[in-house]
Amino acid sequence: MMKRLSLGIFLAACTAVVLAVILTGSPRTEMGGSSGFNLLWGAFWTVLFVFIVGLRALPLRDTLLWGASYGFVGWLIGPATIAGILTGHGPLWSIAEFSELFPDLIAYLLFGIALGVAYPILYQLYIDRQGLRLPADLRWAVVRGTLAGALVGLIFINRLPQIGLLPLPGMSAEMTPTVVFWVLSVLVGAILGMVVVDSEERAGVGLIRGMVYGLLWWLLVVLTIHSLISGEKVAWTLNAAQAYVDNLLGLMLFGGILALFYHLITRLQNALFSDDVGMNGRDEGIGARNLRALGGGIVGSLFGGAAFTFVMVQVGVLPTIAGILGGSSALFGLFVHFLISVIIGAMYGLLFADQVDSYGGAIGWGTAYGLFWWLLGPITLLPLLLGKEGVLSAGAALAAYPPSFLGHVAYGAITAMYFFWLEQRRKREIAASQGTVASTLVVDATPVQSPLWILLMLLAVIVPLLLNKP
Amino acid sequence: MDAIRRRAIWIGVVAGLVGGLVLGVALTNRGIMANVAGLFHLDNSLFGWIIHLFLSAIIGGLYGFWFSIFKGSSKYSDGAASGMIYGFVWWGLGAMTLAPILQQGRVAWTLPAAMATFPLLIGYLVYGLVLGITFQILGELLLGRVLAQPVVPIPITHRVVILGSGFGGMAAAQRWETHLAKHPEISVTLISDNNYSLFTPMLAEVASGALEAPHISSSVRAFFNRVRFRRAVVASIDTQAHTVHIQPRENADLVALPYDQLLLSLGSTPFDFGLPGINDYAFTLKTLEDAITLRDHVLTLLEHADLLGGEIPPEMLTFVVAGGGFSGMEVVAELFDFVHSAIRYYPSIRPEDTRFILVHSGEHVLPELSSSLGDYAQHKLARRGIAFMLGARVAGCTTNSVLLKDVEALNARTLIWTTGNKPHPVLQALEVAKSNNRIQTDTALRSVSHPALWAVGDCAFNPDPDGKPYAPTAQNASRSGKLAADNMLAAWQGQTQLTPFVFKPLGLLVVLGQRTAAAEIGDWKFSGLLAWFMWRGIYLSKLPGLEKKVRVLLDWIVEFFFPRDIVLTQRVNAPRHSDSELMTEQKPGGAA
Repeated sequence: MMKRLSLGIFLAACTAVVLAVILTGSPRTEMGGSSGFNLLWGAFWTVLFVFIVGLRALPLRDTLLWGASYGFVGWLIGPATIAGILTGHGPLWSIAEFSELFPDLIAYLLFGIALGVAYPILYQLYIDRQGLRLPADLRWAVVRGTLAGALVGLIFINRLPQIGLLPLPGMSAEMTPTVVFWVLSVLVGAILGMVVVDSEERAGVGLIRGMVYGLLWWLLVVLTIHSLISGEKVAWTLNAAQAYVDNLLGLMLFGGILALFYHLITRLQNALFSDDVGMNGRDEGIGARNLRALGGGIVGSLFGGAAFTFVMVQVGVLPTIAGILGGSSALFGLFVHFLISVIIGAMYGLLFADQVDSYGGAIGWGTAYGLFWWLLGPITLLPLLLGKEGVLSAGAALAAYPPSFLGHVAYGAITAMYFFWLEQRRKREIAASQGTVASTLVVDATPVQSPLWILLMLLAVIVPLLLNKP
Repeated sequence: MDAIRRRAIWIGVVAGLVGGLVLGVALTNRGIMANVAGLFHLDNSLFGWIIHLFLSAIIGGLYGFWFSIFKGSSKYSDGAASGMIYGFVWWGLGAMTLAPILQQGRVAWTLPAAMATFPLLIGYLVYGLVLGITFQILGELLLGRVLAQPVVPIPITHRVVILGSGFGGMAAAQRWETHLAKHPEISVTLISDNNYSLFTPMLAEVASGALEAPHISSSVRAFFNRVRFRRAVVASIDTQAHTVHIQPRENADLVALPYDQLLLSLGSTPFDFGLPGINDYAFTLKTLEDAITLRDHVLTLLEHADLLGGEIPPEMLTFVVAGGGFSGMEVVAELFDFVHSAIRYYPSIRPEDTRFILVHSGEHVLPELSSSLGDYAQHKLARRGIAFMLGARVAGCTTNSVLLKDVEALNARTLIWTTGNKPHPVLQALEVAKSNNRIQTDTALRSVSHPALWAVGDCAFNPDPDGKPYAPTAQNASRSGKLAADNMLAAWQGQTQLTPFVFKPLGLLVVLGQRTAAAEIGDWKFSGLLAWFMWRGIYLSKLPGLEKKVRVLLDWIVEFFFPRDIVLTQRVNAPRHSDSELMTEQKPGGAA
């Protein structure tokens, strides 16, 4: 208890200093809220962080997300709600107020990221008192990350200049040879490897993790570091951030696919070179497991696809969908839509099998998966396949908001819930043969589930803000 | 839904009200509470509050239905995150979809609409945050003790025992498996001396080497999670004490197994009608062992015949099948194909050295089918070279001849006995009402003399509505087994009206080798290749378990491209019963 408190107070003091510097000394930001409130609230929230995260040896890959999500919730409760109530305005929840508070939001998120980076170091030094240690597998992680970065860099080769992974001071995107961007992608892959190292999670969680890292990278590198290097103001205001929506979309998609590749390479390495007897002690072969997951995903996707059909009919987008396979009628569009939904559902099965342990978990992961496909589907592949302009651009995102956004969320959640129902039925049978009961009422969340979900909610909040150009 | 989950829903309702209160205050503060009442075309902020809290409670209750109480060090954050994502989903479903439909009759999915409901998005997130954390705290507080208690096993109040893992017993046990999900107070035990369930329609193909033996038998245990299986021989049944005595191993002590209801589906065993030699020298085709023995016997004969340098005594490769029913016809056709496919490896055996004879007591083979199909089948097989002796009866056999009634004996080393069945020995000793040696049941499949006893399949005399017995077929056994399980449950629950067993066979199919079959489905008759495809398709679909289906299908595909396997796993010095004399005779210098 005392250790927690003292660690919290120590971090809070650091926060106060950092915030004080940002708020008072720097002319670079345009923080909307009151400095005094932010200072106090930030310190209080930091102490709370140590208690909520629960003083445990979490790796950097998770504390980063915990910190950022914590920053978001802190901002939502503090400056956006309590500050408004204290000053008599009521909760500051409108678009206009959020736009004004946008720089605060970025500051809280960066403060959260900093907290997340500092936490594992401080934990090791102060709680463990064993000195700083690097993760055991770090060298291989960098190799895997490099490989993943190289592969995904090739996939994205034409889009890399547009995404802007790292700032290139003094070079314009047009003049820079493509290979430079590819090298940057390899570098980013290596950084991802260093952060993630190795985690025992399903590929789907890796995918969502990467997507959220993309979001954080955008905040840190695109909105902040890039501007600082160019000697400009940080792009923390909503107006400034709106200029970088394309980068956000690209980075999230790039991050998701990069992390998925990294995950698969890690699994491959484990399968080839490690003797993991305990890990795969399951009751059926890998073929049966994956076939079951595929089948479950396909059946689930029919339900999810049916829900999405409602959205598509309302919006009248079916003829456009038909265009993917060269058709133009709504009926053919319906066929194409179900074809796509079956493929995506089958992938859900493969990526998220055995991950979800309650219907609530299914809603969460299904929503996350739906948001990924919102990025990859209507914003990326649809314009790409139809040969239109604006792949991964704010324009494409605007065209796919809100119907497609909500449709993908509904699709993901319903597919995941049905998939979980199938999994649960099987689990119940297995439990019955052992004389036990499979319960979904009490579960142990994966360490990273909560911050990932919260940061996806951050995305849900900033997407309409960013797309709302006057 | 269990009782604890129901309590969780109420906790969700309370947590939803707490979240609704927080959101309500915020919405009132922002002056948009009246909009909620506007949903129902009312203009009153009190109504707004009532509707708002009502909806919050329902959404909270659904949260309790779907979501979990978390354990672990980050449980409150986990609750908060779950609540937030749940709130976001409700923004999409409620504020963006249902509310516009209620108000304007259509959805409003435009950016301006999303902008207008933006405060609600934030509101729902905050609502979810409060809901999730409150649910977590209340759930731990109110359910923590209940959940920490170990699960108390439900005491068993009713014991069901099923004897036999044939079609009837398996169907009944599988039906019980689904009933047990709702009735944990019942225990069901399945007893069989095999730990597999044999798919007998494909047995002839195992005997002829077309299918692998394990592929048509599926592990009984794989079917059940709640039904208990015990591999043992049934020694006796005590209907007075309601006890079955079983013997798990040879010479082991008997184990007494009490029951409240007993289902007999022990099937039948071959019966020789007391004819001499049948028991000792004839082959039967009832079990997997029978099929393997027969196959090995045929191959052993071929191996020996090949050594004789072309002078093969006529009885050596003469194969007699007694009985022109389904199994007799199938086995003679399969055996013919097998021998003819195998002899290309045996250079000194010519096709003319082999003889296949089917002895049948009736005038038409396949009496279960209409006479035209029976004649078709006979004609097909006769054209291949299989001889038919109709109206003849086997009177016994020796090692190298088959005796016939009123006719000269056939010189043959192999007799396959497919006619004549008797009930399981245990049932012969059982003193219950019987008809034709089989257990007499009423139409609901319950023994007429012992209400705790039920019987299906070959060992039972199940009357149809006219009082005539159902034929001892796999179709009837599976259907009646399923119904027996339902009726046993209903009888235990005190229902007096039990469902009578009424079943019209869907159709009859017989496979005749070489891509021919005959089928009668309803009034439709099929023959030839089409019927053969029907046979394979229908029986493959009836074969239990996907894995076995795949294996049998692969066997068939392999058979399509490659000759049948003639590997003989027996060693020369390990003769089986009827081969023993053959071996001594065929020693160098013996018969030659």
